Amino acid sequence: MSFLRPGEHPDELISAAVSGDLTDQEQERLDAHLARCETCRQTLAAWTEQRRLLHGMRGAPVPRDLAPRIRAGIESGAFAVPWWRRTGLLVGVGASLATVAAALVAVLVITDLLPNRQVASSHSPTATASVSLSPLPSANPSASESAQPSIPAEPTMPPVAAASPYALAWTGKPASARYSVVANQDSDLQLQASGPPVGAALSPPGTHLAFRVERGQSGMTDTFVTTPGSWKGTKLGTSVDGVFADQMTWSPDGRFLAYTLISPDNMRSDAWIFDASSGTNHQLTNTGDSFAASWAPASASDDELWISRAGEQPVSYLVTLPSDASLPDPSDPADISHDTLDGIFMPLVAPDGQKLIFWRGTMSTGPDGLWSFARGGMPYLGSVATPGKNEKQLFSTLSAVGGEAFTSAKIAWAPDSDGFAVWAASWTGVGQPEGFPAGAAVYFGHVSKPELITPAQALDAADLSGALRVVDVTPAPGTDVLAITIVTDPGSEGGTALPTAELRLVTRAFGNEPDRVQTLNGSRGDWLGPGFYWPALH
Amino acid sequence: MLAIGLRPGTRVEPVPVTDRAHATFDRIFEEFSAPIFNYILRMVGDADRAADITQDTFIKAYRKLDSLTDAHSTKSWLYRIATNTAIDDMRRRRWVSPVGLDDEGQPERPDQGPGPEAQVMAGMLDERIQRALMALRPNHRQCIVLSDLEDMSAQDIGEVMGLSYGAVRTLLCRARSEMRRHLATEGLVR
Repeated sequence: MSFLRPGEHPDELISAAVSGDLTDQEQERLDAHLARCETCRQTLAAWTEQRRLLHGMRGAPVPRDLAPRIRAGIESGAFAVPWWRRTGLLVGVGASLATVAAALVAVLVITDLLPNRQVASSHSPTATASVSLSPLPSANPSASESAQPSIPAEPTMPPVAAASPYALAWTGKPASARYSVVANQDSDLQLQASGPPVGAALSPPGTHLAFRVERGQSGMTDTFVTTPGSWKGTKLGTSVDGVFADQMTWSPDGRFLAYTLISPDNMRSDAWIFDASSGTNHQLTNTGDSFAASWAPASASDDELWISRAGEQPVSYLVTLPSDASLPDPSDPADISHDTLDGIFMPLVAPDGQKLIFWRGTMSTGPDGLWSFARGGMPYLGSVATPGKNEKQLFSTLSAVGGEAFTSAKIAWAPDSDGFAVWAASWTGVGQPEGFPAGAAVYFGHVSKPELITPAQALDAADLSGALRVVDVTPAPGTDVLAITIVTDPGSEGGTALPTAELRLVTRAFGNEPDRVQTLNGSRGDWLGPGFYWPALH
Repeated sequence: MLAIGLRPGTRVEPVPVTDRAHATFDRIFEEFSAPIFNYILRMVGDADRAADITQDTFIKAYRKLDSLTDAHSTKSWLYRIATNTAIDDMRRRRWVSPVGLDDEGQPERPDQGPGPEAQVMAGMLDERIQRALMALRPNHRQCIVLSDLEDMSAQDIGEVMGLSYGAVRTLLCRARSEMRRHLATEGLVR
């Protein structure tokens, strides 16, 4: 220590001490210095902690095909595939090593809350791929040609673990936001985006994943689609974040994704579809007040989509998308539909194709230019076979006194076509006891039960403790489990602190028993959610 | 563990192949395939690339088997080959930007380890640490991974990296200091 100048610190000795690589004499000298130097004690503690962190990193299993690959390489005299021939690599000047790398490993295995799950082999793709997103179309109709999707024409089902609801996780920093799909074994997807994920929809065969992300605090969202396994993806468009425009729904055969884009320029809303078979997207409507609702039950050949036009008297149209012909040019859905439901908005057909939930009421645009219900807005349950007849109010105890009722709410069917969740309800009518209906509550109803939605169907308040808002609710297949994404920290303006979200799995308990809640939050400051379920569970 | 199981008589120049060489190589692969793969994975941060580099490492090792004269130095010998192979790969990729990787040949991974929440937490933690690692200069990353993940002494690291004992201590000190800054950015240390 006698060689140290005043103010100098023996960092090399501290480093060697952390490695256990000091001689006795060096240790004595270091101890003497540490006894009087708080800075060096802090350095020692920090370096010891970081060694502990590194040492605690989990090992990855060796790929099973490595041995045969080496054997083949030795016998053929060849090395691994030359880097310049590897698929998907583009040569580009200036790419940094940092963008090449960053394998993220995150694990999400949720099994104990999923009774009756199938047990399947747990192939999980290990590829960690940065994803380049193609140019996006805006909601401006003229921008449709700019989309250059890169989705494979014939995607294949990725090998996945069965009992694994996946979740989209936001792992970015303010300056370099990015997302990764948190799988049950690996984190597979990274892509640059400017805000957290707020919606996800997996195609029925599991070949494509659509998801929406917020665009910072701009009030807009971006919609993406990617292919699990390869994780190559494309951006489908940017939209104003409007209620009823957040619906992303896949056709029963998984060929088409229907979604709505609201133009930031003129607030016109139109329905779009993404064709997974060709990797292209199309604008379906040009009325400026159209919304993609849901798909009719699978027919023999063609896919049929319900499109709603908002208005004082909303109307829904059933449009056929032929499988063997080119898609129609943007038009008024009234011109190409073969079935019409007057007065009905956003019919959401249940997975079994038998039931639907829809809205009735008078709509108008608010000061923000977004469509919502102005008078008498109510969600109903009806039958696909006889729409408009024998319909029941979802909220059977509520009345639209003076026309004051719901302006909007979010609704999702459970895969069993019996359960359904309602959240983010905006009720302007006469209040009910217990603050019913509450905008901050999540209601879980069942078609098979006498009461659809009453205060008794609200999840326990404890299920959502700490929630600033509910981002997404995804009912699990075949169980009374809801995967709920809640914001617990809004972050700060300017993005210096990121918002935080937790993914909670709530197993509904009826009667006096409290719900069972499992919180799957990552490290502090993370955003985990929304969740989606692999089709193996359906 | 999985043995390579080369067929006796496989002809690969310039190594004269013997059954003993095959046995030695199988033993090396069994013992070191997992550590080498994970070491490279931490170096390059990408499982596909790590698999390719591991493959090349073992093929090179097989070809250089006759240069391995001291069984006790097998570890540093193999890590040196792996290190050089990884560095070669990183140099080549300085001008390469990824837009996606093929997903063929992905291995099956067994379910293992702790419960779901613990796994999520561990995954997020590993992700942050890996991000900090990738922010280091390659030689700093290499040094700190060999020391803190592989538990190598400064002497062993020197053999792998071709540096003197003193140079390794200096390099490791700088690497720790740099790593501390990046881990602090991730909120993991002060």
